Amino acid sequence: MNELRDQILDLIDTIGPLSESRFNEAALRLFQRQFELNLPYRRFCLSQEKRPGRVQTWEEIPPLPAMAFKVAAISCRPVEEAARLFQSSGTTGTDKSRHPLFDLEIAAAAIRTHFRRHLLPEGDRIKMAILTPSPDETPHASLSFMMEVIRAAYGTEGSRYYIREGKLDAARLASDLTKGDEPVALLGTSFSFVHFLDFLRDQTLRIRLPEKSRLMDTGGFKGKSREIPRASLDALYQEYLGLPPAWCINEYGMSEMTSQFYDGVAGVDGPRVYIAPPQLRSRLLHPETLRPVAKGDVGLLAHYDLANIDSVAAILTEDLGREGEGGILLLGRAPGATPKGCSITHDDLLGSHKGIGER
Amino acid sequence: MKGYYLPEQPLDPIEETERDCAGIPVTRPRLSTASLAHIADRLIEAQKRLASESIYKIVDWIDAAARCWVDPSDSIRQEAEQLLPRITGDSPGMIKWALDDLFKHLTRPVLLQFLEAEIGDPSLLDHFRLKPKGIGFSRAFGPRLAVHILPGNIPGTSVFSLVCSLLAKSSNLAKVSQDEFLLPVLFARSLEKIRPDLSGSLAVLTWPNAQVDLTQTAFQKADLVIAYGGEETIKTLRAEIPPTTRAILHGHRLSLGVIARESISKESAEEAATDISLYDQRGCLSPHLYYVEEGGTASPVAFAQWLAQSLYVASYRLPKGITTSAEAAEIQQLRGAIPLKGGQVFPSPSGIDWTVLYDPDPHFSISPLARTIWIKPVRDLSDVPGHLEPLRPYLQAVGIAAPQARQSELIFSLAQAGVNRICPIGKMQKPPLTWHHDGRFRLLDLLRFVDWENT
Repeated sequence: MNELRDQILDLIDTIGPLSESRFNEAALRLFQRQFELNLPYRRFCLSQEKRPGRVQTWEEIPPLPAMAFKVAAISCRPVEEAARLFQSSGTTGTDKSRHPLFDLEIAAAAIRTHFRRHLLPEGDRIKMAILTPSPDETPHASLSFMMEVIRAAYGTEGSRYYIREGKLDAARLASDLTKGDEPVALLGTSFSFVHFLDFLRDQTLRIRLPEKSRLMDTGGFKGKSREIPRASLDALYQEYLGLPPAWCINEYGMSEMTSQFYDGVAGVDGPRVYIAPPQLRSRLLHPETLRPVAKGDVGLLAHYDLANIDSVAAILTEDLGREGEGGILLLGRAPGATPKGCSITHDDLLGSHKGIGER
Repeated sequence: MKGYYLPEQPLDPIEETERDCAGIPVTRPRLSTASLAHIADRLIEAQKRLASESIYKIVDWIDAAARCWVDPSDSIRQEAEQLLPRITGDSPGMIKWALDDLFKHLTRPVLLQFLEAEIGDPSLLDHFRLKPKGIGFSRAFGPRLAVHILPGNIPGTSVFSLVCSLLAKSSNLAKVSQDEFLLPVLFARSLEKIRPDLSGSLAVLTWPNAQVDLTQTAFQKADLVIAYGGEETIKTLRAEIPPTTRAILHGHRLSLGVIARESISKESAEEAATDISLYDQRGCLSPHLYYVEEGGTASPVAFAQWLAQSLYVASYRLPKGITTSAEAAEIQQLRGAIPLKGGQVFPSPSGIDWTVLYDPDPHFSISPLARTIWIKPVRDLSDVPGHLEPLRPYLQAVGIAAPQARQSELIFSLAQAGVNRICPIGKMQKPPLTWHHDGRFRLLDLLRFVDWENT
């Protein structure tokens, strides 16, 4: 186990291209561990007629549907011993997704390394304005945990959280942002940024952030009443905060995963594709057959996150994507389709009850 | 092709735009508030002609159009059979079934039965009639202009909404969705073919929901708004309806089935498979779930197995249409996750043609539809209404299979739980015309009664 753990820590720190064989070897060893220790996952694998020994490449490892985190304890260790238990707000109280985290060191390494490459390529600390609740307030939110890891590693002393008791302190944020001339990193959910932009519009305020300031937003608007396309959001960041699109990076992650994707490097113009860290690879599967799609076709994303060392690495999502230059293009959950017919769907009945600082 | 219907060129010619719809170039009007107001005024004018026609002649008119629709050689029917599968994604077999089932219900004897069920004496729509009890006379009048916000191609709903309002002698301005315009447009054309003199009372148009000014214009001209849609749509529309305009709003609804322990059989599984397969579960009468009672000779799990076999057979009889990626994604999640909480999955052998999800947790679950059905055990039928409580405002129909002796108690408890249609399983998708949609009268609700007290 310790050897495997070191192997994965090595992967996380890899700079430059990673050989297929190194990823494959670690993935297969991790599969063996998770098959042995994670009983619900073992049941799932056996139902797919997959087991260690009969699986030769990481692509053959069966991805567990993310919904499994809502119905069973997906863990290789007793959940009571978890250092953190992340819960994503489900659509109803009964179906919260639960992801236990035991190894804080691996998680922090996975979060830090990839964040730095994409948001702080210069490597210096920066003042952070964080538009989520602090982990003291929301100990079960994976996003708050991630923010605290980032703040502790790369934030300067003036860094702080701006959501308390579910409310964004927009006035304080606006006032803090207009003071001083050191660059700042704004980090938060897209939804909380929209709240902040609304505030600035209502106050007819325009902020010109110091040069080299940057922004990272995450999470879409799933089920939210106001859905704003990426291009419009970029235009608003430029107009109200003076941030050019090249300095605004989108993060894609989920509470069932330890690692994250980023769609660019702060300050670098280039095509926007979601780039995975070395310890994370993805497959695109046909939604009906779960077989790999042809190159360039749209498919369901299955992620293989080796930093998920104590839960399950291979996860099937409900997200649709397509292969892009050096990364993946995200297409959301239902491209342009309005549900047809007059029967009720999940979205109709339950909507989304996510709070302002969640994803 | 024309993606809208207007009876004749209005005074100012309508500008058109073209849009691709499933590979078919479709034109639609570029409407302004002025042109839409003009169209509404002409509909109101044309209503005078319709109002002077006898109700029996109007029934004949609809009957003649319906007879064309059930004739396989009719050109409009052929156009519908050819284009509807491409536009809606339903299978050609399903479209054929749906058209036959819809239009055989719109013939003269059935329409007369419907009129009698709703208002007793149909000639109340033509003359003042002596009130059977009370003083003087009464006569029924429909709205001059009804604006319909139609749900697209769930065939029965859109066409029948127009038929009801024609029976009320109202002019109709129908707004259809950009992608699901076809059936109402073709139906209007078939009516015009029979009685061009009366079809001035119909217009089928489309405009983007974002053009609120057009919706407002239509609503301001209307005496009555009839709208179908999800909760968001209904909420948005409600805000635009002027206080003096009446509104009948049909939100999305859901249905389910209940199987008593004595009635668990291969036959009932076959009936259930028909209810699930028709319209690929997208109608408000389609079941999401079956509650199956424990303690019989066959178990709820056995029912789930038989249902999977029956869905296999049904997939040949009533081929499935296109499943969206979002539906498929949700089905894959359930297929993988349900066994981990103690359930069992009976999936189609390849792809996601159908999925039976057996889940011991009796709380109601919403299905992703597209032939995905929950089977949940209950200790006793009397437990069912309790599980339906959170869904009370959304309940539509329950298909039942139960011995005669146990039915009256079951039916009463379901009715009290908020259900408004109870029928045998296998008949869920085939309501009679006299069915009280959403528990309401369908024609009577449109009418205004005028009393004339002559003494």
